[in-house]
Amino acid sequence: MSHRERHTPDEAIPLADRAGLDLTHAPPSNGSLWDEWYSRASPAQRQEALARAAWQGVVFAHQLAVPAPTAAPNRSLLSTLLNGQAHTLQPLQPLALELHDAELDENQREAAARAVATPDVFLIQGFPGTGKSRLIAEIILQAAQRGERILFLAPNAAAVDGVLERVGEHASVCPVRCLAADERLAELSPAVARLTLPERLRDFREKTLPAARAAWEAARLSLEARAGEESLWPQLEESAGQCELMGERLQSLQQARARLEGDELEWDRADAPIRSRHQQCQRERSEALERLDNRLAGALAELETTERKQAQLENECAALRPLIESRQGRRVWTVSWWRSVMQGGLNERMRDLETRRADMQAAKGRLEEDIAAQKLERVEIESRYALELQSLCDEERSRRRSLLDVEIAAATQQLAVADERGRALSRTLPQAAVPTEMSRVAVQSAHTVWQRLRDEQKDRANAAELWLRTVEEGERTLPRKLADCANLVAATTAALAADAQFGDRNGVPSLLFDLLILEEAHQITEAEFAAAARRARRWVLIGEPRLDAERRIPVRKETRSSVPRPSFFERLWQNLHADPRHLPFAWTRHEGRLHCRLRDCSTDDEKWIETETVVDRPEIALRILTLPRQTPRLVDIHFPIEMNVAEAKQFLFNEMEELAVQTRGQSLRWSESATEIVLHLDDRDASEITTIDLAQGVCECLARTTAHRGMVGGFDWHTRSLAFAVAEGWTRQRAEEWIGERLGLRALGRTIRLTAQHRLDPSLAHFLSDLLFDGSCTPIKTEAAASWPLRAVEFVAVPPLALEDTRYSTHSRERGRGEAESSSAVGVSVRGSRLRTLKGGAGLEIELSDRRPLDPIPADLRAHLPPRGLVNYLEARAVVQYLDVLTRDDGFLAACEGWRQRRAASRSSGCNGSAVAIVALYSAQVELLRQMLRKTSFLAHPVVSIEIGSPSAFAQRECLLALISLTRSHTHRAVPYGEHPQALTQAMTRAASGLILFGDPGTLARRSQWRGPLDHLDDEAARREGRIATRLVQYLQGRGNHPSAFLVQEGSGV
Amino acid sequence: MSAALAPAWPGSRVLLAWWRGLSERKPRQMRVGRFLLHRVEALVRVRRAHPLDRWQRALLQFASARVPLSGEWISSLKDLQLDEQILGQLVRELTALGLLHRNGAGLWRLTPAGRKTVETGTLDAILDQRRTFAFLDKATANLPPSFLPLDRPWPTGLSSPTPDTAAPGFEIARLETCINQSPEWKSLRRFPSDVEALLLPDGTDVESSWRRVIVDAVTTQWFAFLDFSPVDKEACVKGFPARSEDWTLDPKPLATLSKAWRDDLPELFDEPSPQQWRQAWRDWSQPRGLNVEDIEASRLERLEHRLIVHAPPRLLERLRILRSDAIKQEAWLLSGEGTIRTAAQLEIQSQ
Repeated sequence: MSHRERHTPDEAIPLADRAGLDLTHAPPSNGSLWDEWYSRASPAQRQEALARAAWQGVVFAHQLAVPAPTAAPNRSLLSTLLNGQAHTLQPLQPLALELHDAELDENQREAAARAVATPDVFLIQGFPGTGKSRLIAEIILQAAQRGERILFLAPNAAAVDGVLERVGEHASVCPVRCLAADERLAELSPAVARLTLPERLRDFREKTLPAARAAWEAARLSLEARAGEESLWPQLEESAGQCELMGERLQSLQQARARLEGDELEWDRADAPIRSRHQQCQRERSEALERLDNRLAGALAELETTERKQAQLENECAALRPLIESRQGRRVWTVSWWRSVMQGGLNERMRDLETRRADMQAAKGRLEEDIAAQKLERVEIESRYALELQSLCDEERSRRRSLLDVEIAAATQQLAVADERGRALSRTLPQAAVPTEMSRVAVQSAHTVWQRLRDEQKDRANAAELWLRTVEEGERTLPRKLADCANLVAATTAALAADAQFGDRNGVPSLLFDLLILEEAHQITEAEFAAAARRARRWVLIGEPRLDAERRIPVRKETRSSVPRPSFFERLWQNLHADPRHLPFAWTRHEGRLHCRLRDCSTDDEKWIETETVVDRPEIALRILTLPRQTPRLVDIHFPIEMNVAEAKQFLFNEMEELAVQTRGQSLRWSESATEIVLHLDDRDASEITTIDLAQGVCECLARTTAHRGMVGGFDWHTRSLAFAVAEGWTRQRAEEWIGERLGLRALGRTIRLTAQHRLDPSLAHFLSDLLFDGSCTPIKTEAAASWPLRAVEFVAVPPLALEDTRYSTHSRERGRGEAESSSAVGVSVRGSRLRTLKGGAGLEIELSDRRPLDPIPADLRAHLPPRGLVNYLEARAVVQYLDVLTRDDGFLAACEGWRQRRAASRSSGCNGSAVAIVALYSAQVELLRQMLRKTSFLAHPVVSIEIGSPSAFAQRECLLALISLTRSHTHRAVPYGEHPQALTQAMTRAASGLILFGDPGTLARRSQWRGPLDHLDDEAARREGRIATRLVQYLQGRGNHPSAFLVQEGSGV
Repeated sequence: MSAALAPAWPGSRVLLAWWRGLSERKPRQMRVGRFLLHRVEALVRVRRAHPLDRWQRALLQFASARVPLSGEWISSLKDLQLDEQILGQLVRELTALGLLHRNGAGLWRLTPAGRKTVETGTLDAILDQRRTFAFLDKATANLPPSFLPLDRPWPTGLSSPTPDTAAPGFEIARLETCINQSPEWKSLRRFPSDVEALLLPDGTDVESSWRRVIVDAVTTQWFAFLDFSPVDKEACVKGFPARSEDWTLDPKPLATLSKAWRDDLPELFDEPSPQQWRQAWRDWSQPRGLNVEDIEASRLERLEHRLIVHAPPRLLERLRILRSDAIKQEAWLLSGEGTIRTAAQLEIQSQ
């Protein structure tokens, strides 16, 4: 769901509950009875209904009280706030944020947190240079991070663009800059122009559309390539099959070759001649062996016969031997002897047997030799055969090996061919789809991968085509889409209503935003704000404070005409901001006695005051206002001399139950720790601090004032804070209620004032704070960025002041920064007295439409000037001459280089790098200066960047040094400075380090004496400008509050 | 309820005007009912098919085409050369819709919902929305309220008289029961099928959950129920709301009830008994001073939306003398005693 669908009023679809859903702004009506009732009900009615829902479960429609008929709720809230009914708002207690800009000071961080957290409205006040633009950038980034849609408005384009340049490139922001009818794209900076719809469309046409076409073309080509590869796969499969076959055959051949060595030869497969020889060999062996076997068999048979006979002989011998032995041994007692006797011829028989046995043995021996010889012959035959066989085998194996080798070689070659063919086919395939090897399995696997790639590329082609179609229609649809998704819409207040995308339709806002940020709100009227406010649920307003608002309630009646009417922004501020300075209490000291005024009393009523004393303290005088037919009121208490401020305050609190707080601080700020809760009223430094115990756990902290302006009526103590001890049972809520009861102050947390000067070097900051802001700004820098300039402010008098003051002015020029001003009484009094006697200026200003006979402007310059407008030629010459000296000052050149490097390193916007801004308060004077400088080489200086313009041209921008041509020089009349009321202030607040003012002291003195409206300045604007002139004259007279920052160049040498 | 508090039913001329106003649609029957309705407004969770806009769809499809099936992360879409801020917003939209997921390293991947959306082109968006559900109160019959499907939003300006203090409450459980019913039941009863859950106040912070408050607008509403279905088709009645102040009938039906409602509201579909018609005849004729014997002697016959009374001549003559609307067949009467009564056009004929 887009932002537009979330925010379109006529079909707003509420999303799920969000944390921090505000109760003061109801969602757009969608026909819901409850939603409609709730949007119109008062807070009390809502509370009652919610309570009923809590215990009843279901609320009956007839139980809902009829809400009062009201206008749009936002308008109600605005009316409520403007009518001083802000007490219905709940105090804001935001959570800490994780900031994008780590360099924000503590006040700015708190402001950012509150702006993000507020459910309704938040106001920020700050003078120029207090970092408002930077703070706005942080708020925008925080809101964008939360998914909010932000509308950023300002009355002038410079304010809008200054912030846009800070956030325009942030990733979380998608900004759109709306152009007013009279704005030209070429007038915007490149960073801001890029954010306009025309430029976004141009970028879209020049980059996005070609890229989409290229992507589509690439996808289409890839798809075509895939289509072309489709036919390769059958061929690849065929090649893979062939490779497999060849591979198998090769393997088989190799196996057969391997088997040749080990296996027995199959002679029936042998070559014919070899086979024939083998057979013959076998035959011969067989025949030889057969013959041998026959002979051997005969010999063995004969041997067997012989052995038989031999055995027989042995038997016979064995039979005779015992007889012979017994006969020879004469063993008459044995049978053998008697048998031997009976048998005769034993010896002869034995001898015959012996002979026959020997013959037999010899024959046997011959036979055995013969057998052995035959066996040996057999072995020889076998051996011969084996050799022959081996020879034949070797010959056959060799023959077969050769044959196999040839086949193997052929098969290898065929395999290589098939493989190469397959690889050649694969070369055109995507790398991921190339088969790892030429096998069916690998090819099928690769085919699967290829198919997947092809499908992916189809998807991509479809997506690219859809993208291309979308982009081609983008010129028509992008504006609406941008309107849907842009989370930051920036415009001038005048431009938004007419914008085609974000403006009104039939008088009704086309979109609702989550957050409206309105800068320079002090320049907006109530009607203009109401028109903007209806576009958003929450509002953050940023503006400059009104100096008149610093005044306390006047003790004399002033005429209505003399009291300037506060602007819409100021009224809102007054109703939302708890300003402790508006408390009626006033402590003064008269003749050593402390006086405490508790209530206002006009001088007319003074006559009705009666004085009484306290019964047990007669030295304390009570002054009671006893108007006729009215209840007497205690208005004043006078304490005795010996009573100090602590005792007086304790008496007031304990006896009168009055907490008479008088403070210089402008805001309330609560802080909490483990031991105490503190309400801070004034955070400025103090020379002395004392603490007064008031009640159980409540202390009042007083600070002694040292500044001249701080002392009122001789009383120099101001309340700095009120502390509540946690140990005594104090809680934040209880403390707030206690303060609310006693002082009527309630910090809603809807306002914050920025007082720290970020832009200016300290010396210049002090000066400008004193000159322009009633001393309410404090510099945040502790030292200047560079050692130049020596004086923060120089005033070049045109025409020069009296020559007798030269000694003083020379002495002044030699003083360095930070040295105490030891004024020459003679110089001061002479200069001061001279200024005091001046009743008018030198009359150097020229109205171009008046054709004077003695026109000091050279004709060549006059020709380029506009037909009407104010110029001061001598002042312009003084500017050019000053610039001449400046560009030869090494210190200045070094400062310019440092400025350029700092700007380049910093992401902050607001400065295009120009170190010197030459500002003239009148456009004709701007043109004169421009023409005069064109005749010089200053504009092309390699180090010093110079820009010339009116004050509005430098809005939201900074420079190192500003040369301001005040231009006015009238002989007798008081004249205003600048073409619009803010011109002088705007011109003076551009420089970070130095300010050079060129002006006519007499005209300035005359201006400071004027009271009342003046030309285009109304009473308030004239009063403000008069105050500036008065203070400037004081500085010229040596009576300024920061004399060390100011130098008068009295001899301009013009 | 005492007679003094009994509601006044629309009279004959009102019924005639209603019938004539809708006659061109050829109704078969007309019945009149007085319902106590609970119009319960509550915050519910709704699931709705949300079409992506062209840009979202194109970018999502582009992103999905970049991501291989393995679901690897894609680093960027910068080659689209689309303004980075616009691209960032588009991606944020898709991420917020749960279609893209971005990890801590800034890489993207489609979520399962994203893949489904690429296929279908629509996203199931879950919204929290306040919806109104009409329930027919049946406390008098000791039955829980029945969901009444309305054909259109409750008309503004339709009078809703404040009920008396004895108005029955509404049990939230009844609404939850309906939400948790099966899709078939919801289809039959025409209960919104996109409603998934009832969002109740969580009780922790009433102020932040103010949108979850449940409101019951109890309304007493008169309806004229007319049956426009052809004879051979099943009955399907349409309820037309009427303002009780002047009996103005809204020409657009507010509710359509099919036969599924027969069990809940039998009087809406069933024909009154002859005894009831006889009693209705008596109630109509007795206040007109007709002879009781003639009244009882009349024979009643029902034909479509008519009640044909075959009356004695004397009764007929009496009606002529009285210039009764019944002679012109412009008289209507109501039969029944419950909250729904059947209307019939009187047609007097001689016996």
